[in-house]
Amino acid sequence: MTIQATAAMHDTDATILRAQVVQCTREAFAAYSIDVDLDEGDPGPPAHEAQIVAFIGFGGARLRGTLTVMAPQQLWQMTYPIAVADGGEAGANDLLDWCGEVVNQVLGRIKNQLTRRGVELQVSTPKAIHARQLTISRSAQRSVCILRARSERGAAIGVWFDAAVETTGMLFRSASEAVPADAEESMIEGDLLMF
Amino acid sequence: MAKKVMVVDDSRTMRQQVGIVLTAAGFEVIEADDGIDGLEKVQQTADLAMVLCDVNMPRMNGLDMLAAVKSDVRFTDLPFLMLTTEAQPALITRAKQAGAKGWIVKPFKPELLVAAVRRLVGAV
Repeated sequence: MTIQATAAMHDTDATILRAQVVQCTREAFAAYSIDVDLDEGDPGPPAHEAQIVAFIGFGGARLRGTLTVMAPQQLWQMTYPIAVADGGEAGANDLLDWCGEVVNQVLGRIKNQLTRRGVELQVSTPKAIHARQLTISRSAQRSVCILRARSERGAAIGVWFDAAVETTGMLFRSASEAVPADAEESMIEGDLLMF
Repeated sequence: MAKKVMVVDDSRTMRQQVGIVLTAAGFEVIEADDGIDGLEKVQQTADLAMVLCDVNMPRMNGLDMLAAVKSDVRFTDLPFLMLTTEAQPALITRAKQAGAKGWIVKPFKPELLVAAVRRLVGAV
């Protein structure tokens, strides 16, 4: 796994961000019964099988960037939450729509973790596209982490968290100070709160 | 007669997923794909029982839609339940102050969703 902090981003901040990306990607796919094993190193040579790339932007007073998730079409199909008649597959447009929702949920988890550390973000609406032989090109200035994941079923997943800090100081406070006092009361995925 | 629940989300798959759950629970589901569409359909739909609404959407987000609907005296009492990946306390507080009745963080648990809808509109 590669961590590459920007010139302005402290290594400690990059390490925290990387840990959140790993944890949240793992949890998001696990919610759809896909276990992913994120390992070190770049995603490697482009896959020849049909891929779908889903991406979503984020921004705030202290951090901005993009989250991109690339995986084989067949793996995305496994996460599709609606039963398709006769055991068939989701249509192309439905699957693209769903991939956008999944990357939105991955970023949502990251965003909610960062909120607890005092970093608030606004997110864009997600997009997804079909691709073949696509490679992730590292930005020397911005990439926080590029992860290669392998699902339990063997399919490779590429996760690219590309971010720039908008502050000259530390993005996060130290780990022991990072979580606000009321974080225990904050909602997590799947929670319901009635007013 | 089944009670009408509007599902507002820019993801068609999410609308379908919610729709399947609520239809199986006996509700009639009406879909809208962003806040503008949702606002128009609220005004056009008779006997709407409640709105289930995403937050981050193009054109008009869910919190702005909530505020717009609640500013119309005809819909002051129309229950809103927010369904979103967001969990920022500031957004939750904003929704509560604008008149929403609840907040669910995606991915949702079907049994919790149905329980919340039933609590707001009554069992069907």
